[in-house]
Amino acid sequence: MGKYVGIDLGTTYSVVAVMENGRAKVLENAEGDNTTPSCIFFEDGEVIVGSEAKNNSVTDPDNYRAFIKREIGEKKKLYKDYTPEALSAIILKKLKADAERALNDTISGAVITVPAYFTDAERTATKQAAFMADIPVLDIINEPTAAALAYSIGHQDANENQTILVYDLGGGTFDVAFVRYSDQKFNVLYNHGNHLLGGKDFDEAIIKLVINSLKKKGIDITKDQDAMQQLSIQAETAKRALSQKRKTTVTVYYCGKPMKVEVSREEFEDEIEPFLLDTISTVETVLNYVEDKYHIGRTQLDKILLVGGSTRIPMVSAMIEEEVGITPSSDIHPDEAVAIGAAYYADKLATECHVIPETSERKKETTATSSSKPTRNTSSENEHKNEWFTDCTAHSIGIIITDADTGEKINQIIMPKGTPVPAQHTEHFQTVMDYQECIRIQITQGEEQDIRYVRIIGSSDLMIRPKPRGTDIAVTISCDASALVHVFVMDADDNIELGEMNVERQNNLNTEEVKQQTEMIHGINIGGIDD
Amino acid sequence: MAYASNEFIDYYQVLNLDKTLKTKELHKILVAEQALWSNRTNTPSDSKIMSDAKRMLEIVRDALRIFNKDDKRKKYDEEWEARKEQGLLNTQASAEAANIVSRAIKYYQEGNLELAERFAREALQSDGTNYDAYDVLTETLFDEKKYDSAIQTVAFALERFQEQNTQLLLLEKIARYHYIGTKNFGAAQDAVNKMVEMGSYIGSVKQVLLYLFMGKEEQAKDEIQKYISEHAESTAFRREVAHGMYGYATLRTYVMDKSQKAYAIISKESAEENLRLATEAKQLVEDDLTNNWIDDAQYHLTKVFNSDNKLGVVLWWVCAVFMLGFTVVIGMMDEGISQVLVLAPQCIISLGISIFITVGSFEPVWSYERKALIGERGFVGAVCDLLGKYMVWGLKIGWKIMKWALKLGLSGL
Repeated sequence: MGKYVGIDLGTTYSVVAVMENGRAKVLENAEGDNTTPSCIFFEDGEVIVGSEAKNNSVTDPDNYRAFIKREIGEKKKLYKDYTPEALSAIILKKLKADAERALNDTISGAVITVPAYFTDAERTATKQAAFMADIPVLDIINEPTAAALAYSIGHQDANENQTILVYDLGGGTFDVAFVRYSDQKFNVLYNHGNHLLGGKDFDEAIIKLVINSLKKKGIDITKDQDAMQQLSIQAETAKRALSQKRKTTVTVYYCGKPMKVEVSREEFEDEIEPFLLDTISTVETVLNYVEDKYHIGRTQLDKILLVGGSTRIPMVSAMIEEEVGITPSSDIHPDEAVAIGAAYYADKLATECHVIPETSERKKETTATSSSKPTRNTSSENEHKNEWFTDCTAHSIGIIITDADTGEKINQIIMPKGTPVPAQHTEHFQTVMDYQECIRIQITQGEEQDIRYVRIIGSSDLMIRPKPRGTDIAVTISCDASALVHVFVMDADDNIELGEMNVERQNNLNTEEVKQQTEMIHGINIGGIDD
Repeated sequence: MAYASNEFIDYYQVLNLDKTLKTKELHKILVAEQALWSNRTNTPSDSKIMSDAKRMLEIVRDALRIFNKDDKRKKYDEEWEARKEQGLLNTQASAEAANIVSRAIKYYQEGNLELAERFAREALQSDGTNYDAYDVLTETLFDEKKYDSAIQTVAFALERFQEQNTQLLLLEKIARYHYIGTKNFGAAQDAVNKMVEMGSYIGSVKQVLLYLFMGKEEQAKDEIQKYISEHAESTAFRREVAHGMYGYATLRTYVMDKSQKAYAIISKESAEENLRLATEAKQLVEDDLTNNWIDDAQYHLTKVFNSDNKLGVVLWWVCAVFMLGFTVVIGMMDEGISQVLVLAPQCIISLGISIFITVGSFEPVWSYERKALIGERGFVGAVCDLLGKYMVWGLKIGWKIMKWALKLGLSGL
């Protein structure tokens, strides 16, 4: 029998953890580190993942890929024929091989974490990557939720009800979650974030400082690709150093000559301040929402958990303390907590619920049945979650409607963000044209009325019986525990079902593409893995 | 990433900030603005909108780096004042607006009217003196059939732009929006009169077109003759009238099929009308447009072979020839004459159908294209189509029955 692990597949670093005899353990990789850089280097016929790949990036940046997570779920090729899913799968393959070596056992299932702010498409893409890497997925959970779970290990005081704010500033994404812990159960009350904000931006701040400083000396290194690549690695080191020291030196080789540039913490903080203000705005949004909706004021907040490597920057906790008035806690390991929480959850799922990991075949089956049934109940597979935690929607779901007064198209939210899942919401709409034969339903994800700033996640033309304008159309949006969206449309005048819409995952790979990409990565030799 | 960017950005203008506010207050506004744009980068499906939102976020963050301290702001303000004195600031604001307008124009050309309208409005917000923004906005509104607000917008622009040529362009819009859109010919006539008063030939061109749209073709012709007799040299007038007639003919000839996103010709009469107008336009001026127009109009009335029906036609002929051959062979046999009498009518029918379907498959282009676009076609064409299809189906079914019979026969053995 194999082991069940938790995988934190990060933008910059990935971690794998396991529960052993009730204790969480982070698994070392083949290089002996707890964290593996999420980057890939292609070398004729071979692929290298991790720190070795990062070292090679300087000599041959064309064959080096990193920050793949920022692009997962988008339809594009990142390297030759490799999609973001396939590249993530390569990283997962390395993580799996290293974990199996450390455990001396096979992996039977895993819980993989994603940012709370990940959309439906991005979650599906992550699952597909796991499938390509031949990792059976027990579940996908949100990173802040996992961090809160990790915190609960060893803090399981049944009588103590706590409210926790998770501030997760990772390599490429930022998440805030407000969690209430009561009766040994977590309720995620609200989450918010930005999936384009993280440590990478801070590296770029250092890069910018160095470039500008050299520019003052009349040297422009932006056209020297090697120097830039080297600088990007140096920047990360410098950023870490600045968390300890007040200033540090970055050395760049330009035309073979070493250039030393001094960067001070003050300059760095000045540069990254807007980003951190952005995160504080997010925290404020979350706190205000929880106060309005659940009447939990900020004085009732017990703890702020810091997660993610970037929270080591001293300015982060200083700023949080200044704005919120609570000193963030350092009870959990910023790099490892997410993987540990995932491992804890994986262990519970496997041992207490006997959940069978989801493979691609089973997924196909459920999609097929869901389209034939008009309404879909939350599958029993997901109900186990309720024992430990409930999550909430990270985005508002709505449809595009025509404003009867102005004739303008606007986004009308049906299920607001922050709704505890599973949930079902119905709104009624009227047709605007006489004897309309067809209605176009466009499902959106986003908070604004302005249709430019929402994402259309599904679209369908439904035939209706032509009647004078004002036909009552009922649109029901439901969201299951895995944050997957279902839409059901009805003619409420005639009481006729117009159809269930499958949210098309336009940006996701189809079964054929998954198969083809899987074959592609099966054929390659990943350095250090004995297949 | 814009590492190399050294451009000076007028944050007061771009971010709509009140310069009289204190640094701290501005900072607060910018933090809120950052949260807004930061959220906006989370969801858009359109990559152009996404990159715009990212750019906006970058601008706000850069502004935050300046408006976080009084001394930095002071330095910025000094440079701002200096640039203002040199007249460098306004150009920059309009450059920003021009950038947005070009986006609006692009969307307009792509047929995405909603986004074109939004961007045009946004451009006007940042620079109310941008004529192109008015131009694309009004045309978009017109295409969206929001005639009243299109006309209102033009009226607003008329007050803003006093220069004569611009006034002419705007009056032209008013006239056109009225005679095509609202059908308020009186209002259109008022606009045309103003243009004529301004002494431009455009006024006369519009008068001709107004008559055309009112259905007074004779008066339109008189107007043309009148202008030409007075201004024998004016090639511009002839050209504009011809081109205007093209627009008029296009509206009357074609119908947009929204589901196919393509144009189909309304009817045979409209195709003939189109050719007549093209011929008249060509008499006025011979250029690429009128030449192409007349070529198109003629082409639409010529007959082409409906290649969709090729198989059906060939099969009918094969069938007819086979029947004929069979009848002849039978007739040559002893006592075959009585059989021939039975077979002959069938021979004649199949030959008749073959000839009918062959001739009928030569269809006028307009009908052929219309069928391809919206599935509607003339009676003869439809009958030919069915005959061809039945033949192909019949043969397929026959083939299946034969195979089945053969199988049955074989297994019986």
